[in-house]
Amino acid sequence: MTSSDLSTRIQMEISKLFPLLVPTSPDYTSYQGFLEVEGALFRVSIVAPNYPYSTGVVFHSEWKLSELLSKDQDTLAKWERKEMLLDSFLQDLHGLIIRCLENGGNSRLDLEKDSIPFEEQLDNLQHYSAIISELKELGTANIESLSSDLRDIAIQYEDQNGEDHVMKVRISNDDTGKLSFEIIDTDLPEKIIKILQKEPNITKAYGAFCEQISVLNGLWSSFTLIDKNCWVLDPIHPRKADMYRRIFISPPSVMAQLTWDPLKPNQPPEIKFQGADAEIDTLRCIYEEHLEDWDQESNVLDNLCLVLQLTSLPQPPPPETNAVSQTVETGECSICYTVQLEGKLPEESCGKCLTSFHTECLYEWLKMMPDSRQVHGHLSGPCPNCNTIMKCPCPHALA
Amino acid sequence: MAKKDVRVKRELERIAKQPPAGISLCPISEDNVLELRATIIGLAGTPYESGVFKLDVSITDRYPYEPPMVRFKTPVYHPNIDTSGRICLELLKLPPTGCWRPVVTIEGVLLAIQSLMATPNPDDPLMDGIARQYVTDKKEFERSAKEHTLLHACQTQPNSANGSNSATGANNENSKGSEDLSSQTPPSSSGHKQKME
Repeated sequence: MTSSDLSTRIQMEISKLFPLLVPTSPDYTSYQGFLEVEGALFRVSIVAPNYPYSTGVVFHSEWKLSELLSKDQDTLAKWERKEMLLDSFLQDLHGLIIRCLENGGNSRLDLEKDSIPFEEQLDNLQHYSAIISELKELGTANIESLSSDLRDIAIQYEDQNGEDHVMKVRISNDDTGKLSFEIIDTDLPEKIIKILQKEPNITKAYGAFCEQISVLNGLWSSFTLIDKNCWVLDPIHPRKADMYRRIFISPPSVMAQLTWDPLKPNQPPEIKFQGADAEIDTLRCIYEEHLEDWDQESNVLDNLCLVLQLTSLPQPPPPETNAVSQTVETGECSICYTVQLEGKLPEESCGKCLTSFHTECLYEWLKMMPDSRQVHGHLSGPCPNCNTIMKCPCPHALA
Repeated sequence: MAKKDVRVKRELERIAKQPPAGISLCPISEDNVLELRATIIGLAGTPYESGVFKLDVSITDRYPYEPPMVRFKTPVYHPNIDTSGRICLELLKLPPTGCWRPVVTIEGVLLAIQSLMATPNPDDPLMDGIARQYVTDKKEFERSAKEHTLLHACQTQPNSANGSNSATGANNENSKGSEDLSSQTPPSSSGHKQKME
């Protein structure tokens, strides 16, 4: 028998015994793939420089198998030096792994849990082909990103105004192997997402997504108008999904929350008023009287002025240069909210949270606290802000 | 001006500058900052969603050493809020039973009430029945609370004649409400004051 005959025969033997181990060089000196041992698959890479003999073989495996064989390194090293045919080497290796699996009680259980059985991998294969055919139907041009396991897809849509919208979808397969999808992120409101979720597949859901965006575009431009021209209180950072705005009608006491139904974007918003009873009752009467005059053809600001009988809506305040210093006066007493109290400054300050108080203000509070103790002209008790024990001189002792 | 008036005015200024989400606060009449009207919009995802709930806020003489007196005017179906609008909240009581401190603001109290609405505390109930329902049948609780919100807190009045006087409107609606609430209508503000003095 010639050496090439032997070479072919050994290769045939190997591919029969280990179908998942594939030669990666034409002279069969290197292999990549999986060793299947009792239903578990181990990823391996084998270089056999002296093929068809196993002499000098270099064997690499995934960590689980290396772990399993860690005690048998000597045996392996012995085999690597021995002159035997590669198929026998692999069979011996297979036998060794079985023995290791049988001996290593606990670790064996872990392996069964962790490694994916062959059948399941086949299932996965079907799952992935199903995803790919779904993606083909959808057209790859709109796919913005795809996770490596093909489960998370981000699909993009550019609307007629040139603005991008993204729908993120997570794919899973149920027990019957049917694909199902879940919309995990879009800039559409919850109510609309629920509708999209009812579509039978991703392509249909994407179609509905694009359609909804065209429908909502009118409403979004109304929101843009409101955000630019009204004094908006909530939401502080409006998202496209936010279908409401709370605005001042007459600051600081009367405000209104306008809520649109995304399913009826052409209807006037529901308006709820907040503020002093007398004022909001009057407003509500005006609103109820003029609601029917709401004209879809004119813009939202004119409509609001019309149904509330206002000449204009309150403008947003000029952006404050330093909003924080305006609202939190530095150095004021945290109890009476003034800086000077009968000519005195807040002199007491908590050692921990640094909140300051006038001596009188703090004393007044500590005096009421059941745990406070009076010691040498001082009262010690919990800081009104952080509860750390602090001391306060008795004001009458000072006077 | 009394110390408490100054403080309340400063609080109102702050709220006007940075209004908290879903909350409003203003004096009932311009010449008295010690009697206030607050409204809370129910948080999204709760049975009180988008309801507008009115509250009376009375500033006591000893404020801020004593907490403000806060009471719902709009009926609320909630384990910790009773039929006359009283609220069971530690922040509204003085130590050692409660945790009121003079650095807490009216805004802080209203935010705490908004979050109490979102997460009831059935272990310390004012309404035993509702608390039991909240624990044993949350779905039914949410359904009732939602229904209640629609009935009392959604400002939709069938005829606008009622709209001119919301107090009457609320009471009328109340009598149509569930058994639980119709037995006790919210007390008038005069009753409230008597208790304060």
